[in-house]
Amino acid sequence: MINQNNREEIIKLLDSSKDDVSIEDLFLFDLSPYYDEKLDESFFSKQLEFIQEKNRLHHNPNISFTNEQIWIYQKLLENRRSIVSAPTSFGKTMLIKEYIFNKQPNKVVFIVPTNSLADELLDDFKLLYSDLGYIIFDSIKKLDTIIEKSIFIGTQEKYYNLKEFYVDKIDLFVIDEAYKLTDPVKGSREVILNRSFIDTLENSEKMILLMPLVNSIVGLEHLNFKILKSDYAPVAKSFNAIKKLDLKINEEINKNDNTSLVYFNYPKNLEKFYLKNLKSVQNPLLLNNEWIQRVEDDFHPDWLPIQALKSGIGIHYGPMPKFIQKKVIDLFKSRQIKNVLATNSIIEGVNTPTKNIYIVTSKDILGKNDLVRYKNLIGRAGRLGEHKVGNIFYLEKHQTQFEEANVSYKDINIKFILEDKSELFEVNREDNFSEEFVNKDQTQSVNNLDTYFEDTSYSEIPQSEVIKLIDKHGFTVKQLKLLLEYIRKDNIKLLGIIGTLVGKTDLNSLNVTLNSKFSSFNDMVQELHSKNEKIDKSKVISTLIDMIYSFLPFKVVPLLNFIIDIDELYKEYSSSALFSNKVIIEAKKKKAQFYSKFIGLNNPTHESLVVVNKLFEYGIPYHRTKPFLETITNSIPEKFSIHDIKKIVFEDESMNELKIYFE
Amino acid sequence: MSLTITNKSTSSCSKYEFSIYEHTLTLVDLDKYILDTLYDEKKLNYLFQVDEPLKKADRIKQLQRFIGNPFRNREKDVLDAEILKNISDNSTNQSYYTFFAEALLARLNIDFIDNKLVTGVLRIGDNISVTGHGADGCMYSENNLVLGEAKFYGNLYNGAYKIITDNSFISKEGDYISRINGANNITIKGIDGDITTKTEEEIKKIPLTLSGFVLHTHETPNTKYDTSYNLVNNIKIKDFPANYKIHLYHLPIESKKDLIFKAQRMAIDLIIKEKGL
Repeated sequence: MINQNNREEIIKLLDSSKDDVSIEDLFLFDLSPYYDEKLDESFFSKQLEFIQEKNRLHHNPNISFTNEQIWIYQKLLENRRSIVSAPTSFGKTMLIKEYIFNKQPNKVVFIVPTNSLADELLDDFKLLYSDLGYIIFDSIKKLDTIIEKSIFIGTQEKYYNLKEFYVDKIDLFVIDEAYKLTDPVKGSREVILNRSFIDTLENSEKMILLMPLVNSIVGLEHLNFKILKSDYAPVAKSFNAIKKLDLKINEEINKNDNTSLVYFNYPKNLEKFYLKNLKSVQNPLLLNNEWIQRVEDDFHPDWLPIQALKSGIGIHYGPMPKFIQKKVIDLFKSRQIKNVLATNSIIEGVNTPTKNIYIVTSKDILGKNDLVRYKNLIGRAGRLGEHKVGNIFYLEKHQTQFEEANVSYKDINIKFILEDKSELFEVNREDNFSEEFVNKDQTQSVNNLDTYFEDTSYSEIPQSEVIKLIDKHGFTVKQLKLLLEYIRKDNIKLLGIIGTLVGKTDLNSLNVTLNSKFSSFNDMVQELHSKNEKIDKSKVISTLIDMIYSFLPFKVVPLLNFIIDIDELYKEYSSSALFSNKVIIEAKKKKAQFYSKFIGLNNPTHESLVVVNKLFEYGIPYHRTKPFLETITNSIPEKFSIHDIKKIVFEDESMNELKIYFE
Repeated sequence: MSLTITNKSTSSCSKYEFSIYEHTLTLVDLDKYILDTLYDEKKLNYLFQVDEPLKKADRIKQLQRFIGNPFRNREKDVLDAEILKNISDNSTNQSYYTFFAEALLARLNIDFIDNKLVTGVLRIGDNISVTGHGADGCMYSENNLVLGEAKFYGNLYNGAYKIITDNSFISKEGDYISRINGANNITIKGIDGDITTKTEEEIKKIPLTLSGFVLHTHETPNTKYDTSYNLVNNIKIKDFPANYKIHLYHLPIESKKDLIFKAQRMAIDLIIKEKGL
């Protein structure tokens, strides 16, 4: 049988003993990426050589498409809407790169799940397509229509902010890791991704969704998507149950031979594991002291990711300035560090040369709950061109969970939430529902806002205006309902609203973070640590970084904006305010404190705000960028990414101080 | 000018069906016949991509497989002296003879056995590894399965008989026969990517041809050639089923080096023509 299991056997054989595999074996199993290793002087080799040469990619002549890729590429050309469902190492992004290079669609939008992946692709696309006249960007300086030959690469949030500027149809619209459209709506990320997708359906000439291999895809039947599936993977996996996984990891990291990724569910598990098992490791690291010194100055010398990096171990998790994440990935890719401890932050799309993956904590990743994410994680093990076989190690006691997770793709079925009538309502605009993807029966059965507003005093507000606001700020109707129910109580406080809508909040950290009395990062650390010295200082530092770079800008500030705007709307249509004056003053104060302390602008122009936001998002503290902000803002192109800022920094000697963040 | 079947014999044990292909050409004409047949536009394209329409770029890529790496993409500048020097300097000329003979065998099988034959690989049973492959191993169509062995011998002695006594030829068919019995899962994949699976019963119903091909260099002095040329009567292959066929091609050439030179020169000239240089 020519199937993926047998294909993997051949790959393993080739990996362990080259002589046992012939060029014919590789041909039989479509393993053309390995032909070069086995071509000989037979005529059969010459025939395969011809096929390889004929299938060479135009954007990268060192690589040839496999038969499976050719088949899917042809279908992508033929169909207006496609879903590509294939394993991690299939080369899905390669298909898109080749399409853009060959067809040169005028306006391209490529949505990716994380900033880290966006950053990697921005780099790559800039090299590939700048000479073809493309502008590669993720931000715009002026609020102006996007009509030129361009490629936007970024998260859904960034696209959502720019969406209205695409007045003409987008020629190619791609969503990477599009299985996220099937996630239950938990927060603004899912809402914005779904809205981006739905709102762009009719505004794109061609749409391609990329996702891991699954058996069936339900929920898009009305949209005429062509589903293109392949189980082809040119990299094999080897699974190993280990009784004492911590000892094995310690041993391997001390050896420092192979590239390994150690996976944890949460940063706290990761930090605990490091402190217990790896604190004494001293692996070599060739990284200039200046960089280390700068991070220690900007943040704190006791921060665990820095301590670990000085010992030659990378740490990559969400609550971390992006330039540090990037440095860890760069060091790993260039093998200057061979081991990285990571959480989900590394699963989605960042391409790393990983030989081994150790799954330390199993909750949420092993078991039936999240098979697609599990497949995505193990997909990181092995890398075409570097590691033919990727090893996955897990605890022996997790064997049952592991077996449940390690099912064939044939047992994985996903359902787009558009199929779910109540969710459908949440993610779409009530007033411009497209009949294309909901038939009439479904439309009739969908709840509408009236249901939520029945028996409340808010029924005078036009639904369309409310929807516009929740759209704008990335909230859901369910969240609005929660908010409306919460404020029925007496003695409402802003912190209570925050707790209700964005979940458990560390109030101490929130207050210290926004308090202007603690101006430096170190001041904030000292203050928080002094309140509970039993907590490890590094944990305090991580909490603060999470608060500054993630929780405040992406959860709290959008909520503050929403509260302020919906209160204004309420006042406009009714005689009284929705919230007490105290709550609104507090919301405005907290917003101003955040902008003043971390963005550093009191009355910013739109252009400078866009630039400073970009630098903040990259993790550079405001006090470092402030002296150069005006120059950067004036020099930056209308459409730009962090790479354009890097270019300006490197071309201007007066900005030497900033270079270190980009090196 | 053509290659025709001039003799078709049966061995003395009256067991096997042989087809012996001989020719009536001069050695110079035979060189020309070989190259004209091999480089024919449609025929060459068929070898590389079966039914795919031929594009100019494909034609160039196909012809480039027949010239040395140093000559590729600078064809116009390549002088005869450079080709000759490359041949005399190159200790790996043997590999050129090998693939060249294999290509020619594939061509002749298509022309003389079945014009639907496609080169491919054959996998018998559940073993991961492949059994026979390429023109030198396996060609198939709906009606025929051909296992072949191409050789480029250094002298004329023994003619077509030489391939019959060659261990690689004997072991190839022996291996196939021993493995096919009891194997219920046979996979054949053609160079065009088509995959066919057969049971033991099904594959045994397809006529099997063993195809031996010999390019002999004409040595001087010419020893025993005339008497040893046609020795098919002596052919005895142990355990070879009577219903299988054997096709043997025997093509003497004047000089290996000359043929390689002509093959490269002609391919280079055709590429120059295609490129419009």
